[in-house]
Amino acid sequence: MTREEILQALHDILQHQIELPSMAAFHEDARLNEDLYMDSIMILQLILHLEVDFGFDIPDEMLVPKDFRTVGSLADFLNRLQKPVTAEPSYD
Amino acid sequence: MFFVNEHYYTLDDLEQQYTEFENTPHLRDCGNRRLAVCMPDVFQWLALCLFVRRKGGSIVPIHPSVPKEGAIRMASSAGSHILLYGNTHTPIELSEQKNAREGVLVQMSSGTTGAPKCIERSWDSIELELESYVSVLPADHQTTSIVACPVTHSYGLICGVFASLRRGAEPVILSNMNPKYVLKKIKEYPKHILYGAPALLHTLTLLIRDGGRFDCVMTSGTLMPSGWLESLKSVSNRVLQQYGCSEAGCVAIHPDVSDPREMGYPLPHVKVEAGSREYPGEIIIRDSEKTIFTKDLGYMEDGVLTFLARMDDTINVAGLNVYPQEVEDVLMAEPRIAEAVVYKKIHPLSGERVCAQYVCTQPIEEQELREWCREYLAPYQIPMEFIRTEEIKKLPNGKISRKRLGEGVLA
Repeated sequence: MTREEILQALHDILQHQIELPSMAAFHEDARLNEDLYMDSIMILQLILHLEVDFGFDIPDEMLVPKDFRTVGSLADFLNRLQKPVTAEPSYD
Repeated sequence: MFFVNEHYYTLDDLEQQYTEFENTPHLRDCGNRRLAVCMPDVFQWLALCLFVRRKGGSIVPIHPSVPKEGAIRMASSAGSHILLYGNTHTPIELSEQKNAREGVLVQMSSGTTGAPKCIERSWDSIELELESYVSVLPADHQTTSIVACPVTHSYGLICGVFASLRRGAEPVILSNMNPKYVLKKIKEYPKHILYGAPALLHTLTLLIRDGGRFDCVMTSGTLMPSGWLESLKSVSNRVLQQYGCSEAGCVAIHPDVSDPREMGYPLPHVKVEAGSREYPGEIIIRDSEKTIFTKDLGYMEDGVLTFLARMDDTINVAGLNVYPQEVEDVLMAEPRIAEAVVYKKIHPLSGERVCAQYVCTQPIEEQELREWCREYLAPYQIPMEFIRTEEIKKLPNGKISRKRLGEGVLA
């Protein structure tokens, strides 16, 4: 997915799945908490849809709050996820 | 002793922390004092809680997401002498007044008028609850409690952490709410009992793969939709549910839930009364010290307590209580707001949400209102929907019906 497509996917999840009342404020720079008024349960639902509907594989590590600050930073995070990591070996 | 995420803390770490507290004057002399604590560091918070309990002092836990002004407000209304906000070194002095009693855990709960009131529970009564709780919980010292809910709330603190320590097990406390991280931890501890609220449990159910399974899962705080319970049961060895209130702690456990409304069998240290299936009544709890009227509606049948609904206006946001009066007080303190009423609406996916109507003397941007609320309230307390209105509708008797205002579904 391109970054544009990721942004569109985020928009669609928030609009149709989470039915966010504050969609008028949706923008790349919109902060999830302060501008879109998303709470922790909604973030949980967002992660769920990204995994189940769009096939993103969210890592099972601690999430960095900075990645979940704005729509744009989340899109960057998801974009990075798609790129296969070759530099580090996997210990699984 | 216990884990916080990846970090293992030993008894030595705890003792060391105690020594540090002993060298801090406002902590050393905390017996007969009341400390409000709002701290992001889970280990420090738990150590402090155990330290104050040992000293015979009182503690007022405040969820770490609450902003400073809001924490000061909550701490003051709970009669706290000091507030530790963010760290243990810079106490905020609040009051020198003596409270009627100390040696208690203080939690905020709704009063009959909707104004929040402070529930005080003695450490002795918590001990009694723990003994009773552990005696019926089908888990031994080899079962790991995985606590994926706030440990400032009695569910996570008492039942998740304290009960686990009491049965000689080492709890794993998760403060990172990445559902994939919770699943990873589940795998690491095949024999576990997972403490969570329904929304998290449901998300985990949908994400668990590769034949992964939960061992025991505990749900509490709000009713789980039956569809969610069914799918959770299909990936769990056992789903338990517990019921209680701030005044009494946990009072009933269901060891194997099939109907989400069934709260289970009363614990041995309490007597629980409710109506019958035909005539449901208020759930009333009696322990050795007091009688508690829960304002919950339910019934008892074959020794099993069933919960039907809340009798009042408390808004249950994913297990965290929001008291309309408290939010209204904050709104009304904004100079341009003449009148405000806070009520709940049901969101189809997320359960109950906080909504507000207000009358103002000069126009206010919604963003400004949110900024205002953010100074005093935790994110979960801030209304999702603000409606400006010319007048707040009253009932013929002049009273506001929060129930009527909130009818319908949050769009």
